[in-house]
Amino acid sequence: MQRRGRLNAVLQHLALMSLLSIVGSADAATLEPGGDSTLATLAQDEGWLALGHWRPTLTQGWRSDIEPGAFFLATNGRDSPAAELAATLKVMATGAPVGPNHWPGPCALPARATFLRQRGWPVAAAFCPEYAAFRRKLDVHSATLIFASAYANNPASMFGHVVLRLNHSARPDGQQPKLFTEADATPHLLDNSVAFLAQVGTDDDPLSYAYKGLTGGYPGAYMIDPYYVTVATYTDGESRDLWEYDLNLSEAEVSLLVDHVWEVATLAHFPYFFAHGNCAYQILSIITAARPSAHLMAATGLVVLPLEVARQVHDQLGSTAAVRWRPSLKRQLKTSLDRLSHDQRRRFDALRGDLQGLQAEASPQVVDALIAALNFQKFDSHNHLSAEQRYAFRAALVHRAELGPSDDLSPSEETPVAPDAGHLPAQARLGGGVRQGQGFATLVVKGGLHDFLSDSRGYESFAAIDYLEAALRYYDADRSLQLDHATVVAVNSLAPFDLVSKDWSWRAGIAWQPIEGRAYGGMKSHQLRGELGAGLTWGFFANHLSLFNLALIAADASPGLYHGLRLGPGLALGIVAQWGAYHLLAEWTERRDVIHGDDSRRWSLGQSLSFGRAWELRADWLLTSSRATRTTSGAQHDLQMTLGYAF
Amino acid sequence: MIRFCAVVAALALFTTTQTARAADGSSGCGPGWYIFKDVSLVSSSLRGTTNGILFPVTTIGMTFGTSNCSAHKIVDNQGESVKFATLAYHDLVVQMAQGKGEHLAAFANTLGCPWQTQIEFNRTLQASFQRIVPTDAVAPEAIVDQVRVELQTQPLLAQACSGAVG
Repeated sequence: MQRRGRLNAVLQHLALMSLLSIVGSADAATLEPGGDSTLATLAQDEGWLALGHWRPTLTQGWRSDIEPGAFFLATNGRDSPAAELAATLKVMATGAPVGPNHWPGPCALPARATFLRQRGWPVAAAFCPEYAAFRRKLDVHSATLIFASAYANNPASMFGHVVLRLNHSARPDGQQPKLFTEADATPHLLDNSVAFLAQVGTDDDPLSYAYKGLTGGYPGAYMIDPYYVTVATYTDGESRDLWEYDLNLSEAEVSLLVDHVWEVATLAHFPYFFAHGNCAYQILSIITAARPSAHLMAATGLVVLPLEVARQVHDQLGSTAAVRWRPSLKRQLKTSLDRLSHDQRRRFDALRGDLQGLQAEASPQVVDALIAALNFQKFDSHNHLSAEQRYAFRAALVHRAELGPSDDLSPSEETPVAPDAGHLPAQARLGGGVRQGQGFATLVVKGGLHDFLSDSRGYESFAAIDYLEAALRYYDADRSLQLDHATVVAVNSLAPFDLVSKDWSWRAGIAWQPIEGRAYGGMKSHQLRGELGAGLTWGFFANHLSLFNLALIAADASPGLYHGLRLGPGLALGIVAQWGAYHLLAEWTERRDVIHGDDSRRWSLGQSLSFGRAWELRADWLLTSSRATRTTSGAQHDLQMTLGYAF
Repeated sequence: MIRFCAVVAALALFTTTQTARAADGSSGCGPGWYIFKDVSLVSSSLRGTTNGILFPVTTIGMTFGTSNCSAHKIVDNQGESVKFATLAYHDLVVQMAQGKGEHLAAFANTLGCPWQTQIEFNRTLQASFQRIVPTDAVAPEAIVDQVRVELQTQPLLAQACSGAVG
């Protein structure tokens, strides 16, 4: 049997070589050396397409996400999986050198070699010291998807970030360390993580940054780092929680994944697109190479959200193991403080002001809280502690070491709801209401993502980002369909200001809305509003309730306004409350138009009740009033109730 | 997953701009340098500033080595213990003082200490904290050297930890 197999391979090899020599780079469909697989069908194999990152084009063709270069062996390889397959077969059979390092084909492209070998195609034996060292160093046993959640004061980070962790094989003795806690039993810090990151120029101004990011102006690359670097970067440096989702991949799939990481990391060049070809998309691409049958890329659209990718991968490839949570430094500090008794908290506060009592402090918990506070401050200030703070940090560490072991050093905190369990990003709401005595039916649709009346479970509590929301209303009285408003983007960051978070709150938004009524001289028109705000938020009842105060500046542009523009400062006061499935947002806003001397006020109250991660019942009340010098003042009541569905 | 592209551009403009330089002067490859590195405009989610320290040779010409650290001696010459002490410096020092933690367990692993000796390892490093970390800015190499000295003073660890002798 073994001899026959070898003979078959030799014959197949000879047949291939003779055909290749005859047809050169001719259409792969003509290259059929016999056997079950034909080149034409092999070139359309989902595994082959995944290894080349080919995607279907609108013209029924193919194009790879990878830029032309050493990754492709055929000159038209980017657009032709078949031509690339023919060229690859030749390289694999001969072991010809590939890429700038001139490694033999099977060494440079080991995943392709495995793909072909599994289908009976000849692959030359090759000596691959660099590739072997890479495999030995990583020593991968399994893979885990890592999701970095949002960090405070930047709602843009609510989209999240994903990294792939390549987990080392079990220790040689087969033992896992069972030390003190479950966290200690998973020695994953020494594993390695794979991320797809942009090579961003730090000198770029915001506009060129946004332009380059959206148009693929930055090169992207897969990077491999020890996982402890990833952990420190996100949990310490940016105070973001990490969520770890084990993937249910077979040993062969994991091996293919690692081989493919080697291929793309050493040979491929990508543009980085913030919206599409981003970290999440490219991590999804390499997972797809390991398990093409999962068809993970099929669900990607114009914008790929890391949060959605984490949810998708967990749903389709997630293992039954519990999702692990790695709290941020900020959350660790909060837990340390929450665990202190009233008396311990009093002593902690005293030590924060004066270190004289430190030597007499016998509680490891109090000293640990002090260390956590100073450590957080160190990272929050990017290592710019004052001399006094550095002295205090050093003194606290030395004293903590003197106190010796403590039984309950590890803060135990209830694991929050995982991001994948949170509500889906898009939403449609249907309902009705009354405006100035007129009944209407309404349909509200938004592209995403999360506002203060959305179910906050699985999301950052005090960050909101909404984009692409449009509300249509049908008024029964005059049987008219009207666009009530269209939000381009609305961002609110209302992180409570406290010992842990000394952050400013802020707001920014752009919206379009029709305007009508006495404040505008009875005209029907529309306006585009831009608004910026900054202020502070205070949290109460373990931050279930918070009060915010923002100074605003707003500009309205409209042909219905005198001079076409309204501009001026404003003030917003409000309450955000979140208790389980119930959410409330109340806000009073006062604005002054310095161009016309007009004033306007807005009172709003919204309440919502969520049912699971899809359904939501929402009630909104709105009162607007204006005092205009050139037109008639007036007020407007608006009340509506909607049932929302997230998808 | 149909979402809106422009929102990302708009949000990019709203992300915070911060610049910083580590107090230890490490604009390149000091202890945990990557955490305090300049982060103008973007978070680490997008930046390719970290380096592929794991690679066996530096002549591969990969795209990983994008920072000053690619030329630093820890990339190719030093052992795992010094790499770990350099890149996980801040967490390691805190956990040494506390006598417990995942970073301490990982550090023990780099020194070849079997998991059965972890409690003794933690206790030893905590008890000798002032000798291992005598000031608030100690070179990672010096930390590892002193840890090895301390391990040698404990018969169990001297025998069990394969990396106790540098």
